[in-house]
Amino acid sequence: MTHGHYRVTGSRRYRGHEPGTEFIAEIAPNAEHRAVQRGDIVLLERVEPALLLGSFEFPQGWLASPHIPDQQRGAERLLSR
Amino acid sequence: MPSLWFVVPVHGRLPLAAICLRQLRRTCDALTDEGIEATAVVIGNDENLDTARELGFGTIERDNSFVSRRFNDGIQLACDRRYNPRPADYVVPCGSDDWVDHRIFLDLPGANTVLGFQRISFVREDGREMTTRFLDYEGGCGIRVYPRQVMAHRNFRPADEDRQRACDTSTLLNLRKAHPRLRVEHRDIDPRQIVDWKSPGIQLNPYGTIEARHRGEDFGDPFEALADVFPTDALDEMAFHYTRELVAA
Repeated sequence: MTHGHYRVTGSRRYRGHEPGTEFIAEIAPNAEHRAVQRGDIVLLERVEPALLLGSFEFPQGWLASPHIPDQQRGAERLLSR
Repeated sequence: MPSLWFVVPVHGRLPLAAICLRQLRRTCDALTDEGIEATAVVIGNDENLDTARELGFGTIERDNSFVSRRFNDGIQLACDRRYNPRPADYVVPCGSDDWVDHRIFLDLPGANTVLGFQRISFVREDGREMTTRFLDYEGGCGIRVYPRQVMAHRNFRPADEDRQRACDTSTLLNLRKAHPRLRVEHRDIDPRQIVDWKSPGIQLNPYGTIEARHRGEDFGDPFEALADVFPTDALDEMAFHYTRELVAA
């Protein structure tokens, strides 16, 4: 895993993030080590950023067939509502 | 038939976003008629997702903390076989306040090439003026055509996860690091090929700033200038939107 979940612990912003906030980023190992040593951030955990399961729906008809039938994709039909 | 997904983060600005998503539906249908299977995925956490569903687009629910994370979500759903058993061949990040002329996508790039656009038009926040600008950056504006193979070099999440702006720059820089042979080609068929509709309120890049920063030319009435590029229905709807906004102000 290349990304970290961090919390800003110093009194200054870090990478634009306010003190006390959390963020996920890919920080080079040396830069991460220095920032942690300075007390700017703490590493909460290593993570792999990804889509959240259950958060998404595919476009209409995308999984049903390799080609979208005309009656499913007509702008005129959808826009005439 | 090659496939292409537009990736559109949305947040608020419901009336403007709805008009732009409806126009994106027309753009997708025009591309499909030309032999490119096109659709979109819309990423957000408000009523814009209902509009997206009504138009047959895909949706992803994600909070508005970081715009770049929402772009990454959309690109991952479009291209990553671990999530999408029929991954798209191309992906195009796009704003929820943009219109695109479908003709700029008809000639799709090769596997190691990103297609960028340096000419873009901006409509002023009151809808009464339009300016065309040449963006003298390698990547041009943020709307680019990325082949799936290019996105694979960053595991389909190319932008830094924690950005609120400059997501397009982050995407291109990270892909370049991961794929040094990456090339960027430009295509400019018309100064009105991409239109960014500004709206009152907080703007990352207000019309006045853009006009001052980049070289280009000004048009008068945007609705006259765009009449032979975009559908009358879409232009009428947008003109009504700006009129209503002005009255409300």
